[in-house]
Amino acid sequence: MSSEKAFKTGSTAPDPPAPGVLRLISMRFCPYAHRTILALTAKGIEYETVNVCTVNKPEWFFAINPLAKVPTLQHDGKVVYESLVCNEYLDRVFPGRKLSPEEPLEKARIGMLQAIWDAKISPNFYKIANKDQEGREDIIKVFKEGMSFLEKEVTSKSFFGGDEPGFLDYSFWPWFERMPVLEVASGFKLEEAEFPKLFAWQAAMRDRPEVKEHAKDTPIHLQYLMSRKQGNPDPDAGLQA
Amino acid sequence: MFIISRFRVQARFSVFCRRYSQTFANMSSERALKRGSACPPPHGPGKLRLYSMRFCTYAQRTRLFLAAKGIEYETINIHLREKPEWFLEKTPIGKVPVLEKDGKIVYESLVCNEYLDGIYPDKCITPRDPLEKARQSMVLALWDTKVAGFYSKLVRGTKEDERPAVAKQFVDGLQYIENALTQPFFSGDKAGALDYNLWPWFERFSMLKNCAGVEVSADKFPKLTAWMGRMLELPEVKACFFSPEVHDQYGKTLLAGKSDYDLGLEE
Repeated sequence: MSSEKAFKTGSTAPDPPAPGVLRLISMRFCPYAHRTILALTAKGIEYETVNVCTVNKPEWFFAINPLAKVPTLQHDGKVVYESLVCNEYLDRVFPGRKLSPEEPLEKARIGMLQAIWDAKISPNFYKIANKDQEGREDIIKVFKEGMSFLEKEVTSKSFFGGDEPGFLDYSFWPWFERMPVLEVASGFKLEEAEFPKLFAWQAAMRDRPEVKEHAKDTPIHLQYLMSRKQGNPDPDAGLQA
Repeated sequence: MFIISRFRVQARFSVFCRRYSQTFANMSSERALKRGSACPPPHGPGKLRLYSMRFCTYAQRTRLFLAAKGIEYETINIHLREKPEWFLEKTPIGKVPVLEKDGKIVYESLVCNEYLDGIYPDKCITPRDPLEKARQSMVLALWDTKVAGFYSKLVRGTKEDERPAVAKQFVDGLQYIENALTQPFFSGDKAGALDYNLWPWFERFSMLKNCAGVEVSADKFPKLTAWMGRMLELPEVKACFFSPEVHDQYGKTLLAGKSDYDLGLEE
């Protein structure tokens, strides 16, 4: 069973997944869930989806994951949550292309670049969309500092993962897909002249089948974000009634 | 035969004492290096250096792994309010712990800890089973979301009127961690990665009492209380330990906005 329409507060819990079936609890516009969707697709793993509203959360979700956040994986009674924990788990347990290296220093480099992203880029992302954000100039400065680390890392390779995208590529991509929203909302955009390799990387990512399969365009991302801002989040935005 | 076996026991005991005091001596004699200080020359080839701060909870995670794995290393302590310029060149995030070996730098406590298991594969602490590794990461996520922020607020000083609400959130959050403890240690029969990664905050629980009047009672948290008792018996925990009195003294300097990184060091 795959449910496109999101379960909300007050909904009845869906039946647990059948034996052997991998279920992803997700939300169509969540960038964190998007990370895991990309990893699942890249590895060719079969799964079913149950979408939930991440603002008006269904009560039954808390019994599965006490943090009630997406993505959450369910598989034969096992539960895994936190996007990067899910992605590492999937990479190790399922066959298909390996998304992470084994070598300790290479593995550590992934952790360190992820830490830079978590410190300088993701907490500032949506703040930049707000034209009236206090200290916006400084926030943009830190954001760009973070991006310059990514620019350095993606030098001689096409992707952070090497010849093909890996753990970090799928970790970062969801925010790059949403970057045009920042431009529509506040005029902010990264300049290709300043980040030529990142721009080349973005073009290469957009061309990947696993990215194309789940890509959403800017107007629909904007529609969801506006619905949240207006206090009426619509995780089903764009679905046929 | 009796004489030989007694000698063996003594020999093992003195090795333990030497290692214990070596590790302890390394750390407790180093004053924190500030802005304007000279960059210490690299440690010899194949040798490990840890950039740390004696009272930092995150650095203690890595010190616990190092002690548990019996790895020899040198410590350079960093003044975290006036960071040396050369330190910021090594790590753009500018935080401790940082490991340095043969010119290679690794930062972020959890990344450092996994890296140590990677380059010193003996006595592997990081769980090998993918589901167990995921489970330990999820408990840390519960800690980060439900407990860490409120802990920090209580220790760094909350306004009197806000304190009861923050204290309640802390205690409610800690229940998730109590519930996650189903065996003698978080990792099973023996202490493992999750035990070391959580321990530093528990070592400082007296600070919660003295800074914010919040007590973690044995009645409400029987499993965590028993676990804390077990952890305090472990040599690797003892090797990195500071007493509640010292933590409380440090805590006071933290509250005053003038953390004394060299607290307890001889002049």
